[in-house]
Amino acid sequence: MTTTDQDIPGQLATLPDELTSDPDWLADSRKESRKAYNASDLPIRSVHLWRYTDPALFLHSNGSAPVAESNADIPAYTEALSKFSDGSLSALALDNACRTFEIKIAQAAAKNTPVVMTLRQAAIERPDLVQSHLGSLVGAQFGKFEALNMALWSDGIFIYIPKGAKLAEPIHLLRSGSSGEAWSYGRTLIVADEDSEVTLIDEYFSANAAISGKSNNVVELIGLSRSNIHYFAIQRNNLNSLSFYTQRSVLHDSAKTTTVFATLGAKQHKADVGTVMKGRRTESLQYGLVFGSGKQQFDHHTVHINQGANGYSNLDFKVVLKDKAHSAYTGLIRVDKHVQNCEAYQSNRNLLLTRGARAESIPELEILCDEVICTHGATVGPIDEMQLFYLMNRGIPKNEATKILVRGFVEPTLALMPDSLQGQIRRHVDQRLETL
Amino acid sequence: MSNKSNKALLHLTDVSVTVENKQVVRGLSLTIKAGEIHALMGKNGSGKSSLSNALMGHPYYTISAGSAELMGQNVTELQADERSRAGLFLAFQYPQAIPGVTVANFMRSALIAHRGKEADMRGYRKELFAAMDELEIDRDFAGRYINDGFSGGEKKRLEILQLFLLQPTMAILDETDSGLDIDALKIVAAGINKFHTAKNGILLVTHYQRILDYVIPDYVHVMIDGNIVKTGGPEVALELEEGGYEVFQPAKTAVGA
Repeated sequence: MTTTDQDIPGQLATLPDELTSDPDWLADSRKESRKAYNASDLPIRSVHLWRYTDPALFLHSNGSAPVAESNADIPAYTEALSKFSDGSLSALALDNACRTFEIKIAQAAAKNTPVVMTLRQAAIERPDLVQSHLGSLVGAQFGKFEALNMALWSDGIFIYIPKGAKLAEPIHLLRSGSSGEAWSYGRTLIVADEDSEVTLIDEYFSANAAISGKSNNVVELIGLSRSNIHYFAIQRNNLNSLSFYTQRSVLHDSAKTTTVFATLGAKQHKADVGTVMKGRRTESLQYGLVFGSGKQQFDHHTVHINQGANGYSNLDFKVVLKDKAHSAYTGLIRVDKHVQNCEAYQSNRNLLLTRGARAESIPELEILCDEVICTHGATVGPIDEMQLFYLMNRGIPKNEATKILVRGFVEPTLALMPDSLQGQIRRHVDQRLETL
Repeated sequence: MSNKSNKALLHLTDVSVTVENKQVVRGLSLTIKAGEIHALMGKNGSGKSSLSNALMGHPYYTISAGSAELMGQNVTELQADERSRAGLFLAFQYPQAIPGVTVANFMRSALIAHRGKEADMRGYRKELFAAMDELEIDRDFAGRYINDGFSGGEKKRLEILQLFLLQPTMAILDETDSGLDIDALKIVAAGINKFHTAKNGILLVTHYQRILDYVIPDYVHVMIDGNIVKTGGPEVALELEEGGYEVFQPAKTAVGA
């Protein structure tokens, strides 16, 4: 008896018809990726990066296509549109379940105007910019579920920041996940050309607060020489949703990036994020801010790969958990052979607000050269008793003092974000702390 | 001074304090009335700070015997925050750093807790800045994180700033003078004198006579091995300065204050 791909749960038998209109090079890449996905084994639970999350959760399921709800009914979209109207955004992309898009770009001098379009449109109109970069960081060989994304991404956003362009205002990507049983697969490619500077707000949310959604998103950031990318990713999906997220940046000579990942939502969120410091004299600052409650489960992996001399990387990953929430964090610093004079720092701090909350922290160092300064540290524990005592000593009740300390814990990370985002996350954290 | 006056702000009777099952204060008695400044002097390890911390409700220190009353109320029945709102204040020997929490937000929360209402922000700012100016604290400190990267002197001045704003009835100042240069000491002493009125009481815990040149105590107590061995006027501090604690050492039986 022969088995076909169709018979095996999670296998991807065919690519949907709707994806066949892509240019040949892209259609071929999808086919290869499908094969790679089907051919690769399900990751084994005992191995690296899959100890804390069941990989079977992320297998493809042949449900009906994701449902995009009407943009007009979604308050977050209305809000973002008014932010765009009052001139506080360089561009706005509303992405509804990777199905329908609304893109707006502010009027500016041509040299400071970014290209923002859907990725599939870009594949047709700007293959010069897309073909060489798409999948270069997170391709079919990256991992089973990244291959799945590479085969099935229904669409996403493409952004190109021209040479020397310095965007005064952020570009905001606002994406609602799908509702229902079907997975949504989104892919984003951002190319910052030489000497450019941009701030990106990449926000994921659930348009429908109750219905579970499943999303597999990939984001690739290309920082060409001397570019400076500020990237803020916020995941605030509803608590029924499942989220798989992979992000990589590459930095060429003297490029810089500051990335902040705020994970607030989802029932289960698995993320693999990182920077490949390919050029010389690059700088990568990575921050994480995780807030979990109820039975939320987070599994984050961060990566700094130093391939060029005189690089500087710093990572500060903070986690706050209450109720029975769980977080696993693994952070890798790799310094390749013959890479001299680099500095790499890493810190992971976990604040547990209740007895039932749990956090694991595993720092990993792979240093293959001599001249390097590298430190890492991890802490897991409750609110500092002495800090609590200090605040209570000034008359502040224990519950309020605890909230002040949690806010203080996250504040230095929030302070790095654009103002509008700071306010939003502060309100979110306050709301979650109400039931402490 | 140990008579049970209605005006007693702090009334300690045979108080013992334990930390990690070790007794560090042994049956100490002390009464502080409104309008009085008491200096409590002793060497390191004599139990001064343990007493201060236990009175304030530090989680590691327990009042294991005796009674401690704050304006007639048994303090051991109160949580640390309740003690503060009841009018007790401790200026810490080693103030905590709290990164992420600004001085301004912290003080605002403390004032709201004390006054029981949302403080008028404009009025609050004025109040905060006035107190900062008085203590020669740069106004920029309002936006800095609590004691984060502060020098020793700056930390102590921040403690006095809190004393100013919260206006406690009974203030315990635990080695507020240590780590201060002479200029900072004068500013802090002036702040303490300005705070002091006929309605409040101060317990000044110190190693050295130095601060007593600027803040004149009504009573000086010498503490050795967990109890007060000598009580007198400011002259006791001068005796100490001259002869050291050795002069008071042999007294093994507790002298009631």
